[in-house]
Amino acid sequence: MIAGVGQDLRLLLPELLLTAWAFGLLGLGMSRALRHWTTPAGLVGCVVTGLVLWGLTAQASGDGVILGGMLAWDPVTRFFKWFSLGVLVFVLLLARGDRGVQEEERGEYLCLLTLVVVGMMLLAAAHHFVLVILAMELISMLSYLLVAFPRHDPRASEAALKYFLFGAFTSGILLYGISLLYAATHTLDLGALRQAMEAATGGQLTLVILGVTLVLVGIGFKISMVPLHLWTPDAYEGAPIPVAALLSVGPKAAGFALLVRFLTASVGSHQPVWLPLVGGLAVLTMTFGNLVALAQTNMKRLLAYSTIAQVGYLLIGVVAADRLGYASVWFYLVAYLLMNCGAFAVVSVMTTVTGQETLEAYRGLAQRAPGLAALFAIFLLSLAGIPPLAGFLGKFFLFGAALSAQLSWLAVAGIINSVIALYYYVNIIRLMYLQVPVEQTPIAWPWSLRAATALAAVGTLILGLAPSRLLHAISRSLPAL
Amino acid sequence: MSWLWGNLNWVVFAPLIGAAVILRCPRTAVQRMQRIALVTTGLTLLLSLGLLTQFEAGEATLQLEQLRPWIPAVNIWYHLGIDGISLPLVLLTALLAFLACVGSLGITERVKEYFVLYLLLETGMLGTFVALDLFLFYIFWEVVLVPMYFLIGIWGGGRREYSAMKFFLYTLAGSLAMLLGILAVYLHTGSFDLIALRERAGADFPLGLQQVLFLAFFLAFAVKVPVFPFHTWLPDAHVDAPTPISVLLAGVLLKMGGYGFFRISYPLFPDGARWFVPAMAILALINILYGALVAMAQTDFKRLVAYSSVSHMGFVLLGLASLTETGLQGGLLQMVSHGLITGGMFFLVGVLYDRTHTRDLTAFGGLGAHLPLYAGLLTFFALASLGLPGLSGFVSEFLSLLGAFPTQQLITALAIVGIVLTAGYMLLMLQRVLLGPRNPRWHALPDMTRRELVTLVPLLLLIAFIGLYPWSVLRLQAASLAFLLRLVGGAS
Repeated sequence: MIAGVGQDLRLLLPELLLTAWAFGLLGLGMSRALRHWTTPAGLVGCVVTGLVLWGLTAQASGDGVILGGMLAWDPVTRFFKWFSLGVLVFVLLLARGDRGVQEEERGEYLCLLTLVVVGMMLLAAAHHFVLVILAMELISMLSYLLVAFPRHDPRASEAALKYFLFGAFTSGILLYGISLLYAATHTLDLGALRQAMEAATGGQLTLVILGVTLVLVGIGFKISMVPLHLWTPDAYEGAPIPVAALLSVGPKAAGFALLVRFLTASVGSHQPVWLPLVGGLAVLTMTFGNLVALAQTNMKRLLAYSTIAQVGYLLIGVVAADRLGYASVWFYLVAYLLMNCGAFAVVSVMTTVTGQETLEAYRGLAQRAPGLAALFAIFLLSLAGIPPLAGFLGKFFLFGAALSAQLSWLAVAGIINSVIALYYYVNIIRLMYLQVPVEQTPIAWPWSLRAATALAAVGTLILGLAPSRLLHAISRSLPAL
Repeated sequence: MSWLWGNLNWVVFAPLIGAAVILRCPRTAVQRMQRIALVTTGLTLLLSLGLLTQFEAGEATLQLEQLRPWIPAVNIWYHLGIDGISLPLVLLTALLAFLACVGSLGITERVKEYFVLYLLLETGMLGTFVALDLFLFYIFWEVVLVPMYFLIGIWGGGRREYSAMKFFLYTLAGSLAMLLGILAVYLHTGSFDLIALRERAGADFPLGLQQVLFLAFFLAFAVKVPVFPFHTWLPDAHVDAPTPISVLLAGVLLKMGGYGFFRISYPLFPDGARWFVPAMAILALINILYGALVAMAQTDFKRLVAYSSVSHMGFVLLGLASLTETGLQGGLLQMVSHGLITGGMFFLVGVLYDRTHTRDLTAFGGLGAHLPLYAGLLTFFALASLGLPGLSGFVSEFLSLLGAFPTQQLITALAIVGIVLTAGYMLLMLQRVLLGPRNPRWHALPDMTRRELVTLVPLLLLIAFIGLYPWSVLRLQAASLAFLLRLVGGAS
């Protein structure tokens, strides 16, 4: 335990700083003269927060819980703080290229996006159910707003409404689950939960089982686990692309951090019960995501179902539930951040230029914009898990974790799914490269999207070819078992 | 010069450098890109010949090794090396890649993309044959898929999109099974290193696990070879690919599967291999007979050659199933020989197709008198394919059969029928194309151009040379195969 509120707040500095920065961006957006500086200012905020975080990490103050047990300060939280910052960088770059947002609303837009990232940091660090709820609601409320941000687009409003109804419902379920756990164990502290749960017998045990199930439902909603994925395609389709990109990576990653913390810190001796359940859901999730993705004609919906499938792969590492399993989840999350944000950046360019979201718009893209098509091909092949790209190495570790945890069936399910997934990813490549373009006009795209795709592509290649540094960092960012 | 001559890094990555240079050329500089591609593949061929001069034929160990840590956290190494099993295939690959590059000069559409992908493909193929780390091997193995998909899909004919996708899905499904196998090997031994693993000779794996692992790797290699019933991608891909790519598909890609058995399945899982040998022999027989019978029924010239590959690759499997040194020699030599012969056959099909835009065998006839050079070459390659003594195909098939006879008598006896069938369809093909009444549609066909001769004559010379002096290749292979046989523990 680290003493002193002052010390605790110091460790909370990245979140505080980003929150302040978010409101700064809001103010900046109100000024007509300074408005177009919002994106650079946001990026500067990322850098400053990164420096602060670096300083805090380098000081290596002891791990523990802060603010009276509300938040954890440990390798996992630090890893996800870095990860969240990475998400923010991509989202800011994507948001810069988003023409769907009015110039005078940009400050507000970026403010909300930044606050979601703060929510992610908090959720990944939450060590107490009260904070879990707060952070989750922060993310959810802001996400509803962001999906509905294009006010005059009925599709966005519809998507936000669906998302909201579904989200509010699962929030209720989560709360109910937590209250059941509280009734059974008399604690909301994730650290103390384990002992209390293991001591539970008889009627208490029933409550615990019910409670854990309902909490898993709540988390499953956030990470789009089947059968709680229903909101995903609609929300992605209606939302502005940067928001869809954010939703596909950010809250999912934070959800995984929470899931891992919940399972390691709480479930304990109940693991033999829950892990096969989650494993079965993992297989369902990836299979469902992939099979439905096969039939999609809208690029955003396709990416939504692809996200669901990727969540299925990620769950494999959670089920493996050992160092290798968690390390592979962490690695895959980073790979996924890069390749998915890259893909969304390309979709953003195409949607802006052609005004279409259909797969048809990508026909013959290789001849129209060779660079853009090549980048998209890299992201898609990485998502499909083709070496030497990041996605391949991620799957390599995930399947390896499954085998090493004696879960061959999960690895085999992952392999079969990878073959199914290849079809729809390569189908896009087929349209881009093997078909003749309908239109010949070259495609112009803004610097921010160029930067985002370049960053993502370089990252995807480096992670695939020279992953040693990241692996080293990850090996020091694993939860204690 | 030792940093260049006999350095495997250069052999593998020279094509990639060429690809990077082409990437920087403007789209319209077609001639410059063609020249760069030719120089690159030519240099790669020279560099691989350099390997031959540095290679000690009597040694069974891996030579000219390159060893560097790559991902130390999981014990993955950048490890290259050659021995008598890989060297002939490296040479074959470099040669065919150069000749097919000459053959690619006829490509006029999207030249830049073509050569970039082509050279990437060459790096993948060469890397597969020299990688000594399972992870690295897998990377190269998969790197081959993507350019091949594009090369068939963009520059192919017929149902090219369907064929390219089918090729991709089939091979990836097989490879992923291998990926699980690789992971299981690592989890049991903590190593990806093929040499270290081969020295353990399967001691880490109980029989049951060896069987499972053998099957996992078998799936990947069987799709590539292809072994019946995993062969259905082959006729589509071979027929719809453009000529130079068909040459590489048949000449090199199929060998990657055969090579996998020699390099990985046999030495790593010797008990699994011995357990599987009876099945392998039966599959070999099915390949030989089924391939030949189906080839006989074809009226499409290219499809006929494609199915003949299925049949010929059966002899590689037969050699593998023999578990004798003679048989392994025959199987490995058959890979080289088939690469040369079928590569030539696909070139010849392409020559005719370029002129007539049809591959329908019934539409030809009487070309023999009209195109003497073409007729001569086609006859030569067809005879080589049907196993005429004095040519390379005869030596390798004969050795396979000879080696297999002591251990697989019945199957060897039946396999001989395959040779008769091969003679049947090859002669029938010659008759349909060269003899008979001349179809008036083709009265003004030009004979072979110089460029086409350049692609075919080296193959012709090599086929004859190996046929007359097979020891030239067998000498390279002998020590490594004897070592392999000791590992697997078959009859010598």
